[in-house]
Amino acid sequence: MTAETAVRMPRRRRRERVNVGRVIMLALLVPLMGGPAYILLVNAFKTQQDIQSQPFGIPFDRLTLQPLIDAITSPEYNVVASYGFTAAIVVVVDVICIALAGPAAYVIARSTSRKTRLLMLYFLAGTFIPGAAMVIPAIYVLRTLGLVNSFAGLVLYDSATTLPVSIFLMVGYIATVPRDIDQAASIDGAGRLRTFWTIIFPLLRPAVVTVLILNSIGLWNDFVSPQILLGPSSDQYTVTTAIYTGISQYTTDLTKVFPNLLLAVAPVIVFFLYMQRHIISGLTVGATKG
Amino acid sequence: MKGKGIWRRVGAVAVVAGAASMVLAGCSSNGSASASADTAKAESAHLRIIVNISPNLTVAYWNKLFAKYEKAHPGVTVKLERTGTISAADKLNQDLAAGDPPDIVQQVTPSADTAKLFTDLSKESWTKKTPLVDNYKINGKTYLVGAGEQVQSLVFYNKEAFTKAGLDAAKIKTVAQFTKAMGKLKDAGYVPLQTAGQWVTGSQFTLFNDSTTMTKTPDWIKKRREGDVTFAGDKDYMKSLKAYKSWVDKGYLQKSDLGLAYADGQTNFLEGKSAMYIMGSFFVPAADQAKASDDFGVFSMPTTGTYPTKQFSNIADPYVVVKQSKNQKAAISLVKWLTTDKTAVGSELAADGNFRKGYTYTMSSLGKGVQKIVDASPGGFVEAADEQPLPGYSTELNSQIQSLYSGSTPKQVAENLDTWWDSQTQ
Amino acid sequence: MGLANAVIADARSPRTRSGEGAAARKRNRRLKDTAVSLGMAGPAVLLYSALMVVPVGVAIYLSFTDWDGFSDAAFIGIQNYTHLFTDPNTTHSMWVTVLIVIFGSAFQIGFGLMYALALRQKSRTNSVFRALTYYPHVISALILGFLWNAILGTKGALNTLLAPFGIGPVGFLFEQNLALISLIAVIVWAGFGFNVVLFVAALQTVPLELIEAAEIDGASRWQINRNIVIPMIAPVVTVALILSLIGLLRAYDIVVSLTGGGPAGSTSTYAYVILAQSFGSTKIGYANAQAVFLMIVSAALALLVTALRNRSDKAAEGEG
Repeated sequence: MTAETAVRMPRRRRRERVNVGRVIMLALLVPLMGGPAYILLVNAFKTQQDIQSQPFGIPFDRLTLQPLIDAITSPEYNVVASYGFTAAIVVVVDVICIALAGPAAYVIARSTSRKTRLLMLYFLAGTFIPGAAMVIPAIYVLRTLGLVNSFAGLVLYDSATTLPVSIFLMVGYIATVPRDIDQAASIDGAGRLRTFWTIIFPLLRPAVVTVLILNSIGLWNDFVSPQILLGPSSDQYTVTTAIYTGISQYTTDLTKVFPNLLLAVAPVIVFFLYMQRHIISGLTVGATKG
Repeated sequence: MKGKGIWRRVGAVAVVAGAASMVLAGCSSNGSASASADTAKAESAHLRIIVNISPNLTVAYWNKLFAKYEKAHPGVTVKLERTGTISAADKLNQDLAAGDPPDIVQQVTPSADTAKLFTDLSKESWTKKTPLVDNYKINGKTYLVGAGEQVQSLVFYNKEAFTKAGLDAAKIKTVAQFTKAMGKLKDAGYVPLQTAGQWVTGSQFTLFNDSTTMTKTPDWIKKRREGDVTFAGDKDYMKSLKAYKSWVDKGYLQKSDLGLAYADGQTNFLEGKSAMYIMGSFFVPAADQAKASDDFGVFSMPTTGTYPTKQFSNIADPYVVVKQSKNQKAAISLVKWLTTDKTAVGSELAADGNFRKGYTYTMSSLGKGVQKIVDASPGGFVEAADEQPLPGYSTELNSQIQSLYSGSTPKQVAENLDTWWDSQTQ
Repeated sequence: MGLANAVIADARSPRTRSGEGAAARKRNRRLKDTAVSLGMAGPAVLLYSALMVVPVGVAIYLSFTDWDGFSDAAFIGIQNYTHLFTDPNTTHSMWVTVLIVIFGSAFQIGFGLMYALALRQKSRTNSVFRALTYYPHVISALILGFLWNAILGTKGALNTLLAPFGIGPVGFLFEQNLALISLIAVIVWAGFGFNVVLFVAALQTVPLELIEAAEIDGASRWQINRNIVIPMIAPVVTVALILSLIGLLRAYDIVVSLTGGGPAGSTSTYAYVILAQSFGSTKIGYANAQAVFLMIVSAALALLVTALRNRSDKAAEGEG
């Protein structure tokens, strides 16, 4: 702490010179980044006329909760109703992903053979597969498996897409866990699978958190796979597909557009504010290591 | 996303033809009775149906209509399947790809290639009394049946704007007169002609051009398919493009309207911001709903050829039964009800401003105006079967027409359309 | 697979000099170990293979056919691939995508770097600003597109704001070129904050002594950034670049909601053409050829960038 202040001290003077540029840069951020969020928030509580005549204004005496209530109670394309379904996808995929990626990463990380490294490459190649475009052929595979247009099919497909990066991150982390720990467990008579789940896995907490955050945000926001894999007969909507399906119905009715968009982003924003530090470090690690 | 609109709307033109054929059809009012009689004994089934959702035909509208059917047919449930922002045809393709097609689809016009996907309804005798059924036959077989007909070679106008500009709608018969009228409307402070983005731009051009072209050369599209004509080489087609381009250049059409959704554009016109609007008969119920139908009038599409032109017609609320459906009997019963039952048909006609001989509903003054045009027209033309353009054409045309707003010349557009067409049939 | 695990097991059970019985026991254990390895990695391999790798195979297979989704498919050789370059819609979408990839990633990296340098110090204000640049990254691109559509549209918030000044409506979304610029701007807006955070994390690992030393030598701020700081975080910049390139190559969600590919197809990206046009039509074989081509291009691009980086790393090492 003191060392840091000491280091910073001499620079303070110099920084003041260039401050103008920095202040302008940061000042620009406020309208550019804050503006859209402000528009979204404010207009969700206004009447159609107020939105159209003064999209940036706040007519305090005419603010209303009605559009939001209408959106929450709407019988169609109800975004709030889709929270549960979307959350179910997120949870199930997270569980499958960790359950499968963890042991696989352990086997890969603890192997010294070149062939097992090839296995890592095999998984890594998956990051080059453009998920959106490969959904189309994936349909035919799911169809053969009898899983088309089902929750199970969607969840399995999503899990498969999360494996490459998840395994890669966990392999990297397991490599930092000393092998002595495994050996000690093995002397105690624990099998490898048990060793992994009871001894190693608890040590992977940071990596697991990273994987969970990466996957959860990605899945919550995913549009293509639920749009295409979740068939019409399933009648289930995720947040994104509910918005997408609904918006064609009410493009001109801004008292529906804004509240619904607000409801769609609210959970992620709350999650983001609450877990900001973890999310940022999680996504950063995910990006640089993945 | 854009594509569907055009042919749906173009389809509406078929309505006109339908209306025209009302005169010949002389059909029936007994459909409903027999329909409900035999569906009543249909076994229980869970039916899924893709329908067209529009400002007139809302989800709530369809659900209400289907609820009526369910009530009369215990054991049968009908579930509406939403298409999001894509067309019914695109939706059906997706569902087929996913191996989970619905039982019935509305607004998909079978072609010779796709006919095998649908159930052959030729044996069903009731289909013979449905409107325009012969125009949509493929190799002599009936796959598609509809509830009514739409007409689309129409120009709606704002009466107040016409009064202010000193115009008489009855005197606008040629494209030159139409163009001149737009000048006067502009001087009077109006946006002369309303358009919009999405599929509307290309669709309006189709309505404008094809009314002349198809009246003169009824098999024009077939000829294009066979390479006997080209867009760039067709004098009438070029005339239409040039006229349209001149409207863009003179500011009669507003570039900013390309940023509007279909419903937004229509709202502008209904609110009196623009003076004229090329659209099918389905504009009538929209105006009725806004309680504004008396403020608007309608005239037949101006032409460079003989006036009046034939009406761009299409079948309204057309249904096909998907061959893969496991509920064939129940699905056919529902389609029969939707296309022959008095109440169902009446409701569908009224909801979208369509016509059918023998089925009436209370029409507004605007609706009657359309009816008059239909009665005076020399018939209708339908762009189906052999006269159906290549799949994807409406999307491409829409793009090309929109490009006229940003500098493309009529010649470039026509040549691009030819290039595109030929690339699809390589 | 089995082989690979056997080898793993082999490597981890060093031979002992014990007797026959022990050797047999060892062998048994090794077999059991192999089985366990297989059991541990197997499910992941199986799921990944079935739903990621096999579809690629299916796509490649279908890309050589004229399958329409329901009729019998016929092999048509590379016709779908040649059609990629003769179909005006597809070639146009390639150009649109190339522009998005080039300008989108350049600005995402550029702004990311600029703001990372401005916000690198640890402070409360800075972390608020970082969150401000970053938050769109956690929101679905589809929803951001709808939001920006409500802002930039003909009747959108911005045009309403400008109207009283006699400006507009500005064709943010209805002028062909401007619509593409708007699309790129929204993409940059949504994505540069991620790079800010990424680069800030990297910048914080740059030893302060280095900067101090340079300052004492009288180097300007720009010189320090240019010659010391940026080279040190170059590996992270490369990663960010690859992520940007690959991500933008696949731009789809935001196109759907912001412009729907219009006007006049001016914002139809390659992925949009695949999913919204080809898949929606009956050209399944063609759609798969488009998808396979996209996969090849993204892999090639990622490998190219990595190779370039490795080369420059080696060059740097050579210097040092």
